[in-house]
Amino acid sequence: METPSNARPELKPLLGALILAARRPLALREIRRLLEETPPESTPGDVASPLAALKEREIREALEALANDLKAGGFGFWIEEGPEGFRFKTDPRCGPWVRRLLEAGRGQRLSRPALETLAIIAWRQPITRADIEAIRGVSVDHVLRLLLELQLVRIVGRSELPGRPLLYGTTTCFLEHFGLKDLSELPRLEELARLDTVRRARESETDESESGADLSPTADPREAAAPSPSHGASSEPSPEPSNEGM
Amino acid sequence: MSGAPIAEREEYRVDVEVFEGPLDLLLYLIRRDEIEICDIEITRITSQYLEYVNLMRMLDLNVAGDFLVMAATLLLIKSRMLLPAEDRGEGEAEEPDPRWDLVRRLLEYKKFKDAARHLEGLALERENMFDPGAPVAVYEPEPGVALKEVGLFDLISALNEVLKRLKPVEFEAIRDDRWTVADKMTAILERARQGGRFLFTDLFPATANRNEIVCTFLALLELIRLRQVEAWQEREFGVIEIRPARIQAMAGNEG
Repeated sequence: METPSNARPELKPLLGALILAARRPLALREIRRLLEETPPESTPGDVASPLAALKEREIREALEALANDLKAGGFGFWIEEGPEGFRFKTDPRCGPWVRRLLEAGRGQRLSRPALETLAIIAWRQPITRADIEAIRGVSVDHVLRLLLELQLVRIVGRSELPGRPLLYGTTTCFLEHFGLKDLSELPRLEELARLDTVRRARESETDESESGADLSPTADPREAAAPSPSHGASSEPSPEPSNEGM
Repeated sequence: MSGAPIAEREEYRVDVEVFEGPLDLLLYLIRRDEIEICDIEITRITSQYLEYVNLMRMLDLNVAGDFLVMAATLLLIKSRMLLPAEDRGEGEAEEPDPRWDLVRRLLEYKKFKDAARHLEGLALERENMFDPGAPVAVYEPEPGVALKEVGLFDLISALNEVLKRLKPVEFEAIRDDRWTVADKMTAILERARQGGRFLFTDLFPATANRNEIVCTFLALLELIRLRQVEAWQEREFGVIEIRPARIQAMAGNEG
């Protein structure tokens, strides 16, 4: 990680201040415009603020440097980019206490069937209910209703098929819930199957050793997955079953 | 297996909605036997599948019609596999293997099961992270069986094992059914409070008869659904352990 903070020491604190004061996710574009539009005289001590000319890439680098500083410093929070922009996030290790403070209760985890239905929607959106059911082989009526209620899924339109069935897709809330910046952060399905095989092999090797991965604030399951923007509408090559030896 | 659901006679109906489908059951059986999806042995998997579906019906779980459709599909594939290849393919040259369609569906579904596991991993990390702006998401409890740690099919498997150990006393004198699901729920809860964790198999003493076993099992399902106890496995297809639910244990263990 390069340190643009050395070149512009005033940028990092400024970004931290903006995000804290905003109390909502702050988009990169928004920050850049703010820096551009703020007149020089309001930045004390400086004549012509160099901040106005900053590019989004430079701001992002400073934000990432700040995020790393916060993480490394062990302050219990850091900055993270979500679907709607940058915001503070608390250290997951402090979860139980923060939850108590906020009287949040443990958020209900989704059941397997709900997660699977959600996965089908996430990777195949926009998709009709009939297509989801064709994949799962069982009615998803109840589960789909639950996902709609939780606002993890929404109706995104209607298909051109006869009867014009509703099409479902994921929401911003979905991205938030799973800590994704956007849908391109979902790995490809084939990649997941490969990771699954690796994981199983590793599990059978080291059964007893309890993994402490969740204690590491930097542990990111996405790191292992190759990012790919191609999911959703793309049709994958059909798998070939062995036709021999029946 | 008797067709009449045993639980129907009980004053305490266990309303367990089954959200897993026939493909889940097939994948479960395939994974348990450690066979490749492409190499499924239709005769074997069909009989296993029917065994589980019969158990689920006996327990009076709300088994969807999809399970019966799949049973019919499996039997159809099985019958076609018995035909010599030349008879089978007549007029339909594009039908190389009767299993093909099923295998394709299983592989397709499997991909999303992996995807679901990936999402679950992401969510687990996120549930402990908060930010100042966002409203605190409080999710409604999900109705129905939500067995995270151990799946419904794992439990049914374990029940199947217990039932198989039963001595075949078909013509036993009809006794009063001393057991009800409600009684068994109390007993299990009591046990969980006192001893903490215990094995699934400990719930079923060798002396238990079929009716008692079924009552105990339904009681266990209901307690899991009500989040009073949790079922855990050290590893996939391993020994099932029952524990008091964590939240429960925190709230009032000085009972």
